[in-house]
Amino acid sequence: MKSFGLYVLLVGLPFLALIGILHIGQRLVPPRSIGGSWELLISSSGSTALLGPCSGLAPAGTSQMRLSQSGPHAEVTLAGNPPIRLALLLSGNSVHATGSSTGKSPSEGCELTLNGEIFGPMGQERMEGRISREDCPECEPMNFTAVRLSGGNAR
Amino acid sequence: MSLLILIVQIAVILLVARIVGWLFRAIQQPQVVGEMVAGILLGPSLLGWVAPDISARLFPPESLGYLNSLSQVGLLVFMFLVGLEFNPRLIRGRGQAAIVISHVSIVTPFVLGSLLALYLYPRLSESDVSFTGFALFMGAAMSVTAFPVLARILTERNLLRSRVGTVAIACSAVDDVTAWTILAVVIAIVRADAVEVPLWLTMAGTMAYIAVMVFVVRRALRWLESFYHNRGQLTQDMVAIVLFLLLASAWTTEWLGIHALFGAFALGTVMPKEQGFVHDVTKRLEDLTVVLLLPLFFALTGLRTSIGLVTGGEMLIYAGLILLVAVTGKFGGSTLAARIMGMRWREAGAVGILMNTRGLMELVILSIGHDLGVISPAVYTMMVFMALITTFMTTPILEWLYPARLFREQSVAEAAVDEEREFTVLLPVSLPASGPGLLEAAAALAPAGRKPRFFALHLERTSDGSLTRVDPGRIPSRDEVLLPLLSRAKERNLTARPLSFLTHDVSRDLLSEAYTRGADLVLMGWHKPIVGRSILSGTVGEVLRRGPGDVAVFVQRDAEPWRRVLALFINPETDGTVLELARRIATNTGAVVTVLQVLSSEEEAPVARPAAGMEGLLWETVVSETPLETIVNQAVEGDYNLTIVSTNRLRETEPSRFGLHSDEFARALPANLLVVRSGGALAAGRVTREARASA
Repeated sequence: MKSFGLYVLLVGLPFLALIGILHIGQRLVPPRSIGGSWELLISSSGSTALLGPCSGLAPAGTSQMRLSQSGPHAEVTLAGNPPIRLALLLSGNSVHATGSSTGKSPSEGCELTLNGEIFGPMGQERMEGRISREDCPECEPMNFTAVRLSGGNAR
Repeated sequence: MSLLILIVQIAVILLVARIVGWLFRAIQQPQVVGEMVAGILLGPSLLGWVAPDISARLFPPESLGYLNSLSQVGLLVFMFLVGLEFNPRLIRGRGQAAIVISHVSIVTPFVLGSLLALYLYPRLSESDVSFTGFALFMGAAMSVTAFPVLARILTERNLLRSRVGTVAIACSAVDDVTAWTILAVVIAIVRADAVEVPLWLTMAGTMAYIAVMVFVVRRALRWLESFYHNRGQLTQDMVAIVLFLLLASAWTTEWLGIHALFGAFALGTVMPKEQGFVHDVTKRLEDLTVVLLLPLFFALTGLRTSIGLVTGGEMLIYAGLILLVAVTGKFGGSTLAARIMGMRWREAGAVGILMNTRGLMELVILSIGHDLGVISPAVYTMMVFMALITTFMTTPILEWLYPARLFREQSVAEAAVDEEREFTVLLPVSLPASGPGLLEAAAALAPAGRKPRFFALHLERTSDGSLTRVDPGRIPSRDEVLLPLLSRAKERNLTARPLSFLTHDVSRDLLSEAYTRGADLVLMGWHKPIVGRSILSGTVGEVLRRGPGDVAVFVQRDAEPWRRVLALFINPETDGTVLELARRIATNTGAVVTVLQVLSSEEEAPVARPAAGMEGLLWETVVSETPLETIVNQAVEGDYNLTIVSTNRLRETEPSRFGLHSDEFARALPANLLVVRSGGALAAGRVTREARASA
């Protein structure tokens, strides 16, 4: 009987607390979901495209962009050889990402900045913005549009 | 090309896992912890950071699918083996305490983890993941205990049979079943959110599945057990049946929506628990799984783990909170519950730190969470490091809380409660056929006036990387190695108590048992081919050097009763044991016992025959410059079927007379040989408590 009483006290009561926690947590609002695969379309703004190791971001055609999200932070992986990785910060519907490619030498790397806005309902998100090269003042920024293909960090 | 890359990947992972695992064993950590670390080192945390080109070439994204598939198969088999080890006998005698401690050790971290989710959800999750799924998963992930690693730590520290060890194993076993059941529910809830399958449907399907497993499959498997007994071994067809059932069960639970691993675990739990069957199935499946497939899983875990995600003050705070909650919930909850159930604080703390071991089971759960998308990469990384840290900290904290010295003192104290003035003999047995001969020899060596008490000990060595072999449910009286000895003891109306354990270090555990049982005599058998290997080496040599009381090695060549016995006597200080044993044999068996005194020259004065107690012995004195050859010749010519010699004095002053030639001597003798060492007061025949405690 004593063991049963202890069991109810030590196991049953915390279980009730769990129900309360789950109830309270329904009011929490996390950052919007932007993780997963995106199809990136870069449009030339009339000027020369990004050069050198960032040439994987061709102005014509589409490429893949993958976002691995943890809260308001995400790791952006842009297709390239080698791939370009950016650290992204989500603030509301705005995104700001910076990073560089891992070129064979520092002089061959490029530092990119991505700024954009996210539109559309859940499951049909679009991202529009600009990608620019901070280490190349003569390089014109490029406008881009991205469409979310699949959601989630891993499926 | 894909196959080439896969082969290289497997080879590299295997090599790195073995090397790092070996390094961790060298620092007294379980090998599996090293293999987990190896996986992380191969990922972006190290290899991807210092050599990204090599990492990209070794693990191109398109190749990871094959690696993942292989690792999942390995996980399925592993979870099956974990379920196979689950035995209700583990809980026997400790059911109430085990259930209370176990469930408190689950619910406390579960609730704390869910509470932490209130803080982490808006900071580390996303809108595609519901709070319920995130919080329940965090709770489930915090509440798991790594039963295999816990068992491994207990075995290596020789604590499996202690009060702390038996309670921890029982709690962990209950923990396993409970936690996986909870996890199945959590997975069903998470997937119900995602795929719009009503939860009640998934739960109903799961209940039906469990009912079929318990009431149909478990009973049907008794047929397999009978088949195994009839054949006397596990055939390849039986292995195929087991694997097919494993895959069918895994497929069923995956289809139901509660993950394939649960099905593998469930099948393991309903398999027959007969010791031999479990042993053989495990033996067939474990090596390939543990050596080859699990490291692939660790590598994939490492590839998903990036320490770069946990940089910056904010992230480090989150990681610290996760670790704090995990330790507080598991260690604190288990310790408190154990204390409430009557254990002392130190023992309760030891149970708590053991239950805090998360190891491989945590990684399995995290990989499920990652695949479901319910935890983000940053949370995944933080939890992986939490799993590593909590597992790594177990051994040193356990040594601090519950040092081996305390365990020995407790064991000695417990043994002392049962002490009577009995002549205690420890008989280590490794071959069934040698048992009866050892028993007969031991019975002949017992002193008159004292009731002999025999402990028949079978120590089965575990393999270095073995994860799942625990066997605390083994029944010593049904140990096949000991059965012939026990049967002979019954025929002769002798008291023989069986002891049967898994061990990581045979000589250490053998000595520990000798001290704990207060053995007056340790009588070992020698059955290896005496070619190029001295009797005085290895485990036998170790026990001869360090054993308590008296130690003897019996080289048995035939099972004939001892009719004529020859005892070599050179020095009364060191060969007193030989004389005493010779006297006992004469008294107990009625054999004709001749004491042969060998003098090195005519000038050497013979030792006077002791006045009392040696009436039944014949005395001969010979002069010989080659005493071993003389003994051999005497043994052959005199048709002696047992020769007794001592090692002590001979090894110390004239090693060439015995030490280096012990194997030649043993080979040359045609009949049985008894090698004895004097280590204590043979007449008194008891080991002092101080000697035991200081071992």
